[in-house]
Amino acid sequence: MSPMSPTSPTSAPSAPNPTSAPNPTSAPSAPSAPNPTSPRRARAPWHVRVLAAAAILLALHVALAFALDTLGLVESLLSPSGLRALAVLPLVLGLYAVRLALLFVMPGLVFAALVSAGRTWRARRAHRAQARQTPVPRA
Amino acid sequence: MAAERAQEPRTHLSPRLQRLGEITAVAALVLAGAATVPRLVCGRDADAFWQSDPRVQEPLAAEVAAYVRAGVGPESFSTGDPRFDGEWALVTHQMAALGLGQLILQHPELRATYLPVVALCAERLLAPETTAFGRAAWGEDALRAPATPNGHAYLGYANLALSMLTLLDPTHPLAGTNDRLTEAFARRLAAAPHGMLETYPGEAYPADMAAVVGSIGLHDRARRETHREGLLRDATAALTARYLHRPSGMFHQRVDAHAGAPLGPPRASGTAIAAYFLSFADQDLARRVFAGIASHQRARFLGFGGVREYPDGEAGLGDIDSGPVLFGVSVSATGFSLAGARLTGERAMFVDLFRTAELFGLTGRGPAGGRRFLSGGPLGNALLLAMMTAGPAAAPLPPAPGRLP
Repeated sequence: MSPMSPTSPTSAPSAPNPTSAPNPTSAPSAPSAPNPTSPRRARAPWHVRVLAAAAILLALHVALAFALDTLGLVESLLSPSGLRALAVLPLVLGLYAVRLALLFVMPGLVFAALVSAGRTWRARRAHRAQARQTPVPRA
Repeated sequence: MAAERAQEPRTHLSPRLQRLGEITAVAALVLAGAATVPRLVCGRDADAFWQSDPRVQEPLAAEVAAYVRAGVGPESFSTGDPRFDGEWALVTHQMAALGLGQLILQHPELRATYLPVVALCAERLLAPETTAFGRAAWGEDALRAPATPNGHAYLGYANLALSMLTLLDPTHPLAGTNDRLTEAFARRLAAAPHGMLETYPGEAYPADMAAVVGSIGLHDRARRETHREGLLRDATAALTARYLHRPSGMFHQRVDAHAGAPLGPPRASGTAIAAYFLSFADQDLARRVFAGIASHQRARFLGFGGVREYPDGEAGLGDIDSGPVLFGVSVSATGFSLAGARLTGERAMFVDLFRTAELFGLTGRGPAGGRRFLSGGPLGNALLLAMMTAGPAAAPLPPAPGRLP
């Protein structure tokens, strides 16, 4: 899927496709669905998914940090009881994986998602404005 | 025309090319974000710590003081070895006393709050349960029998904290113990054939020797005594001549006190902490020692700094001294080098190291209402307080103009 294409069929099948708008979001995506008439579950646009993932990672980071602080990270890792160290090790690895992703990967992705969301919004607004200007034929 | 051209290019691109461009744009944004955001987030307090701003120092000090008041002892640690548990309790109290002492020297208005905690650390350092690991190793109590010829260099850590207390409060009851311990160390040092005291039987470490030398230097400064200057000069000369690895500029981690010969490779963790300890006796020497680390051992990635444990051509795993070694970078050497960077005026290095400490230390609100490193525990927080408040205030020589914090 094209990550920056906010109106791709896979990301927003029901969204209007403002092909006549000057905004470059109108490029069609590759035909990813072999049978367009088959019923498909609509997926949220990619920028929505990125923002949701960022929120989930943030919540996870806070929860893991709190859990490890409560359990005593250093003491647990140094514990001669292998069980205690083993129990805490996945939490430690998870925490640092989430922290590194949050700090090093998500800022750029979130920025790209916000840019994409802004382009989608502008494209839809332009499309609506154009639709309003088009005279509706009377019966 | 320009407006028309601006509208044209996208419509002329094939969907595949356009998609490729969009993916490239997202990748570039992710890379740009990785190169800028983490260093800003993790380095937000670095300058304030560099400038010894009490607004960032005091919340960490409050948490360290809370740990000490709550009680830290060998039973607080579970390394699996009673000696290491004891050492960690000893170093926790030593670093808490040094960190809080440095804070008081930099901000005298905090004296009333933290001097009692420094005194509490000193009392705990001399408590029988804290020094039990040393007694078990030697089979004697060096605090009760100061005339012993045995090294007991682990007590250099305790004596350095006592010297800090004497500097802050020369009339404190424990200042007398500091006088006696300093005299005992000076006597043993004068008798040591190769300028090295053993920490335990058959074990000697330049970092521990640096603690002994630093404790004598700080004591003499507190007492305004100068009669041991020659002894200290000889001791530091022997330390650097025999145990400093010239090509790397680092101390060998372990040495043979009887033969005066190094054992094992030079390492950054021992050198960085030795530079900090030596700064209490001879700041110029401390700078020269740390210069080896600053020039050879620095690692840097996206604005985050680390210190490599081993010199070029050497490799090894982490141990109780270095902590985990990841990609050659040691946790302990990185943390200890915060002090060296402050002492030598290496601001850029300090900021890089601070970011790493923040990234893996995870600062958060503590039970005392201050801020602490969530992954540090009592020892890590006390260490980082001492390293991040190290500076010329407690050192015998004035700072070089314009470079030091």
